Amino acid sequence: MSSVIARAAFGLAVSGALAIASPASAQRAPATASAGGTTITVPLQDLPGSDTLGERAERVWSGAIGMLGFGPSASQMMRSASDTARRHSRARDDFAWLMDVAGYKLKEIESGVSLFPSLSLTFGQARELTEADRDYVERQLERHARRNPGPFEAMQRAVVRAVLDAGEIGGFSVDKVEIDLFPLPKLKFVLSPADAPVGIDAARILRSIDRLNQRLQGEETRPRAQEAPPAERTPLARPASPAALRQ
Amino acid sequence: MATLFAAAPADAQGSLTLRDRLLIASSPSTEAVARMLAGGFADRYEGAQQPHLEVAGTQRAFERFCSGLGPETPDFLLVSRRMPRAVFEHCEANGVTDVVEVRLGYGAIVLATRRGDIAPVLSSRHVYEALAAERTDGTTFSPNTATHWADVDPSLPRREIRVLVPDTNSGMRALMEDLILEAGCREVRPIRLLFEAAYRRGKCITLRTDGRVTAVPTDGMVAALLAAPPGTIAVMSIDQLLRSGGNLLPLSLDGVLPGAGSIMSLDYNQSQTQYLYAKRQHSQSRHGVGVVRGIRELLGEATSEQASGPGGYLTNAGLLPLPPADRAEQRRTADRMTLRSR
Repeated sequence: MSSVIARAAFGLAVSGALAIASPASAQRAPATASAGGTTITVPLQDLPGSDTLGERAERVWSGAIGMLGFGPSASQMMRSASDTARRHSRARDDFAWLMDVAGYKLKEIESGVSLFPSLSLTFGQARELTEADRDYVERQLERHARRNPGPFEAMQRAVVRAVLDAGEIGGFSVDKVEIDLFPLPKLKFVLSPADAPVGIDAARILRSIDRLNQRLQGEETRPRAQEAPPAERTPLARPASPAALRQ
Repeated sequence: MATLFAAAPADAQGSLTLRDRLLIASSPSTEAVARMLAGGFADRYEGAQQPHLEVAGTQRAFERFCSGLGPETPDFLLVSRRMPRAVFEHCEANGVTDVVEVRLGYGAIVLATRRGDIAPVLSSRHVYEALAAERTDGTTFSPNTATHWADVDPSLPRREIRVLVPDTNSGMRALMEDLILEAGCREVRPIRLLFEAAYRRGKCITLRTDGRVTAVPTDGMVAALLAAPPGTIAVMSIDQLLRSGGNLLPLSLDGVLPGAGSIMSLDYNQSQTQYLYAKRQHSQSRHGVGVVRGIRELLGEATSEQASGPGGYLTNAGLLPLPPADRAEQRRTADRMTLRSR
């Protein structure tokens, strides 16, 4: 509410100072009406000029509001959760669960006891998200925000959102998320290109799978062992000779 | 490059435009709403061409919208997910700095049965396990042979599985796949362990073809359920259910009965908010040349009571109206073309 009042006050001040007529009021479309179920058509309006001083001021204000974290969803967040909501398990609202629905599993908890105790959590990517999964995560974050408005919970949501956002654009995926809680809070994302070449080990495994597939297909298409001519046998299917092994 | 279009209504001759019709990018789950909105807009404004619709996955639709300014890029984006900050920054990097965001309403999908039939207490997992082409025993996948609801879960009634689902390529089908089938298989461990998103989704949304599941056109769903054998369950929009005149009853899903209250409080999981984004820069003229006419008008049309209000024509596409105060707020945003803040 205070942001709305502040915004209105700022709007008045800016329009007063710049003495610019609001484009919205100048371009107001004629009222449409529906009488007796019939549609009354109206003409489209002409395009207003672009990039006036007023619009620049609005953009600056919009950016400032965004940086402070107020947005169109603020009114949504202010709605109280219903009684039914309270029935849901609180366990679902914790951070590990949010990371889990975002596709990340807790892999490591590292704690150290000394003069400065340390605690860090490492999450690894467990699965890619489908579009429906992303919608689901967004929904859970929105629900989490309504039920847990505190600053610590907001930080948890910011981490989950950052992970989601990182995977949204740019051809990168977040492989690992490291969160240090003590002694100093720190967040580290390990990003890797979505179309990165496979590593040596993975390439070896893929080649063996390929070879195995070729062998299996060869077995299936070959009529019978005794009918198969020796020339059709693949080199891989042949028993290795001592000379070949030496190579 | 596009031709300049000056053919416009009498009082709109001041500037030329590079395109003669609006371009709307939409995700599959909002396609029905986008199509109806395009039709409603063309009916409302004389001389306005029906907007062109581009349907792509949500992420692709975001990318298209944010790819830049100009006649080749969409003027509007209709999706069932709020634009993430990273996408918004991507938009800004490509020069799309003036984005107007309005919420149109909620899309919700319900399971319904005829009044007087047994109403089983189902979860989305039950529905997935009854409808999917394959079931898993924990290690392998095999064809689904469940014939009765009790085969899925012994606590369910021993009634035959007969389900009417929206036909493919409809927005309702996309909603069902996203909000019921994927939700149902999200907690199935062997599926949850699959890393690849596309493969996992395939396992979740592929339906059995042995006659237990029947695809029905969305607009004929209520009639089909009324004519179906007793015990049949149908998947439909909440609006279709409300307009059935009390002949159909909703089934609770995951312990929550669908209704305006449970949908708005986000307790009913099978619902989603639908967002409309517009490029304000496309609605302006630079040196007497603009991209297209009608952006303000389509925003106004989308947020009008006759479109997204109670009983508005978008409810035919399954859109559930926002509460009155929120609708008024969206109309103000549309009228003033208020920019979305980050």
